Amino acid sequence: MKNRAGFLISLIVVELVLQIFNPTGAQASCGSCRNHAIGYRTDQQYNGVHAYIELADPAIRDGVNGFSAEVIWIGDIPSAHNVIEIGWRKTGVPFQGANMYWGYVDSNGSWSGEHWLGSAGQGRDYKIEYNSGDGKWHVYVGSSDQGSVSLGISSGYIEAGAEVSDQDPNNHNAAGVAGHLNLSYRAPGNSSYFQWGGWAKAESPGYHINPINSSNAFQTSGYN
Amino acid sequence: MKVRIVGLITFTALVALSIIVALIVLSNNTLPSQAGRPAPFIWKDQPELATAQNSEGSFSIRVMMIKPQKMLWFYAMKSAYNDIPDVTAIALNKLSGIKSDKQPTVDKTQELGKLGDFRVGVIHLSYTSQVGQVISVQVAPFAGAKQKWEVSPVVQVNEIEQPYTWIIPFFDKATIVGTADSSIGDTNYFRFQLAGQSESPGNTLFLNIGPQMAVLPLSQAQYRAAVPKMASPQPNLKGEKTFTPAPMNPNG
Repeated sequence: MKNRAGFLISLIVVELVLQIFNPTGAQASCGSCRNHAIGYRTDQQYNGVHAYIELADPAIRDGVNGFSAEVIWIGDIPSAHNVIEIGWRKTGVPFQGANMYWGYVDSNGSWSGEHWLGSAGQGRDYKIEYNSGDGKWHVYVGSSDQGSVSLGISSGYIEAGAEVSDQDPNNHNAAGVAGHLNLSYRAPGNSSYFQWGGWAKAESPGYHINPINSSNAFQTSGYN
Repeated sequence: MKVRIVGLITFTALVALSIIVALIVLSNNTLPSQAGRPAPFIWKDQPELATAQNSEGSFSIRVMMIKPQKMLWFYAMKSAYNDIPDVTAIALNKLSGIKSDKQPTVDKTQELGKLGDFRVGVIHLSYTSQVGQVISVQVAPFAGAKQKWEVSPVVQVNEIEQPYTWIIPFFDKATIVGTADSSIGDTNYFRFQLAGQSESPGNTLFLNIGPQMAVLPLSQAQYRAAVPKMASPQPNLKGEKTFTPAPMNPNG
């Protein structure tokens, strides 16, 4: 009897400790759910994508390891495999301010990331491009090569915009109001970068991208 | 005595474990990783199949707006007839070419206005999500016309699992250019314009698309009251800007 009581007291203490460290009572994160406000182009194959991404301060109030990110992607977007991304991400619990990172999903669907690159600052040029010399995708902040990976593809579709985790009515997260400016791409057979000149878009309920008087710049925003 | 010791050990171990777990969760160095993910890609555009021509004229999809179960297909049509076009829809499996189990329906065809020689309108469609389906419309310039245009602008490549809104413009060098300017709350604002012309009531159509996908023409003043022109993008001057792309690719 005493043994049972002791065990119950132990469980209560454990629960109290966990409550102290998780004061919002946040639910387990919804690893597979996302909100997006993104622009994309799938009208041809691309082997380079660039955007100047502004800093924002999105609210990440719930979700055990929720995040809000502003990102560019390139790769096999339809399968969501062989996709590489770079941008910045702010995490909620535990709190971490906006930090630059890159990561990728390989051909098996396994995520490799986040490769943290330091504070996002006020705004940066981000770029991903395929290097036919070494057969790898390289990620850049400004003109500085931050890393590379071989994905087994040399071109893909491009996306840019906001990604927010923990898509759930009980959670309340947000995309920051952030500009993706100077959107540009490189396509196989041409070494130059060109302006996007427009995009298709995908928006979760409550999330938006709006052009900034240009076909090469938009602003993301939203909350759930 | 033995029971007390076991209880004390259990108690101590569980408290220590919970503190360790909490500290791990709080540590930035061991931040739990969550995969980044592009937005769900459901609809692959088929720009080469978005325009059709015959001896009666031409028919071209300029912008599509897609939500679960509903679609809007904004079109530009050049024809000698002034009738509202007669539209039927069909869904075929992309690989087999066999009719899909569930067929789309045309809820209505709505005329929106005239730009130069073109009539602009929107087809309201209801559909069921089916991976692999190609949704096509056959358009006759008037009921009973033998000559019809057929367009198949998108194929569904993945299942719809979340209620996104997809807006797909077609980037060809057409005479009528559709622009999805803004989404504000549950309302969208689109413009259709004669290519190369500045925005004005004579050569631009201004539209409001409501939460239930009702399409309402607006005046330029109404439109610009809701969607003010934003300033040209200016990168934050505190940030580091190092990249200068070439202008638009002349080859598209």
